[in-house]
Amino acid sequence: MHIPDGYLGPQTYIPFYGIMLPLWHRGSKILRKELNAKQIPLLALSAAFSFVIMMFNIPVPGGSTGHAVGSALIAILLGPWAAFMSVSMALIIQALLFGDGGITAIGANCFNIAFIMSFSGYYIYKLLSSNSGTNIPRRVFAACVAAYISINLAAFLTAVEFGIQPYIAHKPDGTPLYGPYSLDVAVPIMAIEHLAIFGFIEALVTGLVVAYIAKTDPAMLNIRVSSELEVTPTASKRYRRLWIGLGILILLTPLGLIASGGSWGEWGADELLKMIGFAPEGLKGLSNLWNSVFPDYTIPGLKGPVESVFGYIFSAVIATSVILLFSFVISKTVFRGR
Amino acid sequence: MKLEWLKTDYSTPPSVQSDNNVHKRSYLEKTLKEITSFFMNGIFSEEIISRGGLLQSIDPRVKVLAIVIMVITVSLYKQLSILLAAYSATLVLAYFSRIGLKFFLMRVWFFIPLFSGIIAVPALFNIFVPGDSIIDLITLKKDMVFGPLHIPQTIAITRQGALSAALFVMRVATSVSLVVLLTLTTRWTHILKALRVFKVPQFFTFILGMSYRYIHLLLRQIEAVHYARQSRTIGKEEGSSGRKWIISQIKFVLKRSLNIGEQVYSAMVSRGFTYELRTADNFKLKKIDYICAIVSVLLIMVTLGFN
Repeated sequence: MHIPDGYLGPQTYIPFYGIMLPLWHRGSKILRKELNAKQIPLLALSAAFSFVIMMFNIPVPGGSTGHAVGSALIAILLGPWAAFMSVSMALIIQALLFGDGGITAIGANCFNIAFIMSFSGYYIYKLLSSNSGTNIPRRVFAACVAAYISINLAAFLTAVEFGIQPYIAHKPDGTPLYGPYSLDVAVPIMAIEHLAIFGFIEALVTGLVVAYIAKTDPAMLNIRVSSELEVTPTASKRYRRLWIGLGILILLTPLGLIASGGSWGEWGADELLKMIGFAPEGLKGLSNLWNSVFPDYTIPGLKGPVESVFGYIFSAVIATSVILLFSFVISKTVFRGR
Repeated sequence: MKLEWLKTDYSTPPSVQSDNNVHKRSYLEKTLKEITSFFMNGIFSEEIISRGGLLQSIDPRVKVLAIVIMVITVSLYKQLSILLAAYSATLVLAYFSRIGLKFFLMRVWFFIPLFSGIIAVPALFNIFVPGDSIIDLITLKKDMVFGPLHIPQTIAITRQGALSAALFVMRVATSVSLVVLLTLTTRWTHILKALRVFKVPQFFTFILGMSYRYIHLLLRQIEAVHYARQSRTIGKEEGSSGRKWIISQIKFVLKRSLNIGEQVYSAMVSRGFTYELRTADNFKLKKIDYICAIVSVLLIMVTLGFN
């Protein structure tokens, strides 16, 4: 999932640095307050841990092997900010030292893998394992779902960043300058790969480690390098951030489509200005896709890109709600009596 | 310093049965191979640094800044010819830095962007990148639609597709070559020190440096337990028992890294750590650094001008 140099144009990677700089700043502030001088060795060691966890190959059912990214697992064990910072550090070391992931793409990679994956993983786990007490199976289930959803979110964002390249950066004759595949190719390929394979490997590793720790060292599941989020009195307040985050993500889903429609203002106005009124082939394909998924989904007077935008948001809302509802019901019923 | 003997791949110890029996590499071997390549990486660069070529003699600050700006410049090129010229320039730099050409090419093309090369192939066709056809391949009865894919009546290689695939592959290859040149000719500690000069907070560089050191320690331990496990495994291992073992290892490594973190903190405090970080800075700009800086600026301006 590491985006190398050359996949993203400057219109994409510069804004991601813009997003990441304040986040890193805030992360270091929060951890500094929590841990004082202790943060330096602890963060260094958790960064080392997030680096080495990606090296563990594990046999997966079916005779093959695979390895996990681990952001969700680290977030569950150490808290989201510590996970965010340490996974970022690991990604920076990989990019600067091993060329694994590009230097220009550090911002985007850290956003997808360190930020989105850690935070979504952490809050989904918290939501599903709330009041689970000593109910270990529910915790394990929550960890699996958190890992599965969070890696898919990260993969989806990676695909969107990659897939918007042909729309926002191409030559006058239509030759894409960076990643050559549009959203309608990039998103399904990444989604299928991660929904079918990598999501399950991530869930397997995360679930098994949580189960093992719960059995051998239950106190560790409550150890948190950072505990800044523990001052949340009511359930509704506690999950407000999750809902806000999920909402933002859902609203973000059609970003690529907006770009081709011409209102991608702050991300490269010049290129976009030229493209107003231009409906790319891929977009038509996507409209077809959504129309076939939701055959009755039409908004009178709205055609083309706008329809796709709503199609995206609509389907993201539906999919997220279905997954969360389903997981919530399972976690409350199946694991109730244990 | 010749370290030929270290290049021997010890990750797969000789086994009696492996001659005729083609079996899949186990999870243990895969992890060991990854760990070995991590350590080899450090050894290779140490050896190349000791050869003392062109890039090795340039001040890390100048080198890091120049390479980062060059990678950004490469991301701005729109002409294939300029990208090809930039790529050739990286080969020349590799030659003058006494990096074997074969090793350099292998490193760049086989390790990282081979994947990019493969995924660029479909972009040639008008199924993915519509445009003006150069070669018509197949003519179908009518257009077809498979989910999001729209297959046109005539499948062809398009000019836009071919150009975009070439642009994409060359851009990735040039950027990766530049980063590989930097990492092969510069010590990690020097890269970190150079970053500090560019106002990257000390907090970050200090943690990055410390983290890198402990990655070595953790990987050495992981390597040892993997060898121990491998040497005691006879025949085919059940997937579930391997999984159980790996999971216990992950937990062990986590526990261990948190413990080390605590211990290092205590050690730092007991030695009078006051949250002030100091490192010895002994970089000094020489004549060659100024020349290098001027040449890089000129190259960047000229290529961007032609762009």
